[in-house]
Formats: sequence, C-alpha cells, structure tokens
Amino acid sequence: MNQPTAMKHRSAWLATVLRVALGGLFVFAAMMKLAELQQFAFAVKAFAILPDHLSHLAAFVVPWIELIAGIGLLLGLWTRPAALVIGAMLAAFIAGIVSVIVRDLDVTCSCFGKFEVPCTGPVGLCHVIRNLVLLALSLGVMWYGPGRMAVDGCCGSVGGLGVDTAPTGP
Amino acid sequence: MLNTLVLYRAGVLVLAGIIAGGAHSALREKPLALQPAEPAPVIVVPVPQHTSVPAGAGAATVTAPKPLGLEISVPQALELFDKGVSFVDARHLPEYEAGHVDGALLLSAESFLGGSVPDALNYLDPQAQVVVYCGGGQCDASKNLVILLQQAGFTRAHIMTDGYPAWVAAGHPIATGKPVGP
Repeated sequence: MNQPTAMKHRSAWLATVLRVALGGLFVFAAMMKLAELQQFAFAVKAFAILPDHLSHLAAFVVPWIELIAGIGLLLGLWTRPAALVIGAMLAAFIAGIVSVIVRDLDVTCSCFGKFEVPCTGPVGLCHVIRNLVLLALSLGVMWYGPGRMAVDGCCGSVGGLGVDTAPTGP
Repeated sequence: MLNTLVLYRAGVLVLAGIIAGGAHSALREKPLALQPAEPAPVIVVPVPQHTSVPAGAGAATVTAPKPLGLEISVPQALELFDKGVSFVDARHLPEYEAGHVDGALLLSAESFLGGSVPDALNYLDPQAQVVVYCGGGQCDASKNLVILLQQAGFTRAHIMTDGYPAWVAAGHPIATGKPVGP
C-alpha cells in the first residue's frame, strides 16, 4: 500500500468513526428527549426564544429531526445531508445558549435528558464549548463523507444510494 | 461538500422530522405543558383564639395534625371527648358526685396505694388515649395519677391542665351523681 493510498485508507476509517460517534450521540440524545418529553418542553419554553405555539412544536420536532438525522449518520445513509442538518441544529443550539447566557436566565438544558454530560447544572459556557466540539465533528463528517461501512457507499454507482458519497477529504 | 442535492436531502430530513413530530404531537394522549404545574394552594385557616398560638399570629398554615402533648387544653380535651376518648376524674368522691365530665371514671391516685391495681383500670384500654383531670390550678392529683397510669402501661394519657372548673366554665357536658362501675 503506497503512502497516498494509506492516507486515504486512514481517512476513510476516521470518517467512519466520526460519523458513527456523532450519529450515535444524536440518536441517544433524541431518545432521551423523547423519554422525558415533558421536561424537554419545559426547557424549550424556559429558553424564552420562541412563542408558545412554536415552543410546543419544537418540543416534538427537534427530537425527531435528531433521531432521523442520527440514524442516517449511523447507517451512513444520506450522510452529508444528515451531518448538515445536525450541524445547523447545533449552530441554532449554540445561538440559543448564548442568548440565555447574555440574558442571565437560569435554564437547564435537557439536551440528553437525565444524562447531562459533561456539563451539569444551568446552561453556560460548558454547553457552548460542548456544542462547538460537536459542530466541529459534524463539519468533519461533511468534509470526509460516510467513510467505510455506510449505506451510501454500498451501491457505488451514480444515481444509486451512493450518489453523494464520493470522498472529498484530504 | 455542499451541493444542491445535499441541501435538498437535508430539507427532506427536516421535513420528515417535522412530520414525525407533528404525528407524535397529534397521537400523544397527554397534552404537553410548557410550564410546570403550579403547586397546590396552601390552605390557610384562622387560628381559634383559645389555642396556644403567639398573639398576633392570626392565621396558621395547616400542614399535619400536631400530636398532642402530655398537657392539653380544654378545647383539645373537648376534641378527644367528641371522639369518645375516656376521661378520668382524679378528684375525691364528694367532688365527683357534685359534678364531673360526662361519662368520666373516678380514679384517684390513692387507689393505687399498696401496689394494688384499681378495678377502674378494667374499664380502660392501655393503648387508647385517656384524659385525666382534677380541680385545675395548683392541683397535682391528675399529674400523680398520670404517672401511675404510665407505670401501668398507659402511654397515651393526657392531663387537662385547667381542670374541671375550666371545663364547666366552657359549658361542656357534665354529669352529677355516683360513679358507675365498681
């Protein structure tokens, strides 16, 4: 295996790890939110950003988008669109958290239900940093593509499931 | 990395999430609240004037019934009377015959002298509450009797500290005549 091929091989596996890690994390987060949906609704309302009817809608929709996008990443199906969706959500979360910090509100995140790791207590700088790290991961997935063991790569041909799978990483 | 197809598919994913969330909302039996329910209102009732509450309190928060202490007031004794709790008159026979709490047994501390157990105890349940009274004020007969009752296994004996005169003054039920039973 020559050097460029070895690097490409390592990049493919790195892409796989990033994709599965991010997808698994978001599937977990979605399941935790759906399990404690009432608590998540309280948290959405407590952010005091959306009007009541949109807060109500967001409480239902956000976990489902996370779940669908997370499953997409886990399977490597529509990997880049899924990573884009998750990245956009993370950017929105970061903006919301910064807004809460600026307004000095005492709000709990409910991002992972009962498992608030590594950040505990009211939302703060820790949550911003955590979401920035996850945002970087999602950008990494978008950059590297699905990697190995992905539905996107299984059919290979243009027009099939792998239509957006061409590795573009370094 | 980003092209029209990726954007289009991202939109499809978001739309799928919106549809799934909407369906979840429609199918959920219990409506989703946006704010925690208010705690149940605390019941505030006026405190009767005759209870031993500091002056000016006016009202008190009802939490749980406070267990009665050894010494109780006439109103507390009346509550027990209304519940059918036994009353014991610790005074002497002539005082008893002149007037006593309706249904009260006559039992003096002297009847325990010599280590004997008075027959009147057969009328009382050691596990139940008992209210003992005497002439009120400086009288010690009820206290002495309660000590003896406690030694005999009555752990829920109370002393109506203001005694029989306060009971009469409050207009509560009384009776006259000889004691019933032994």
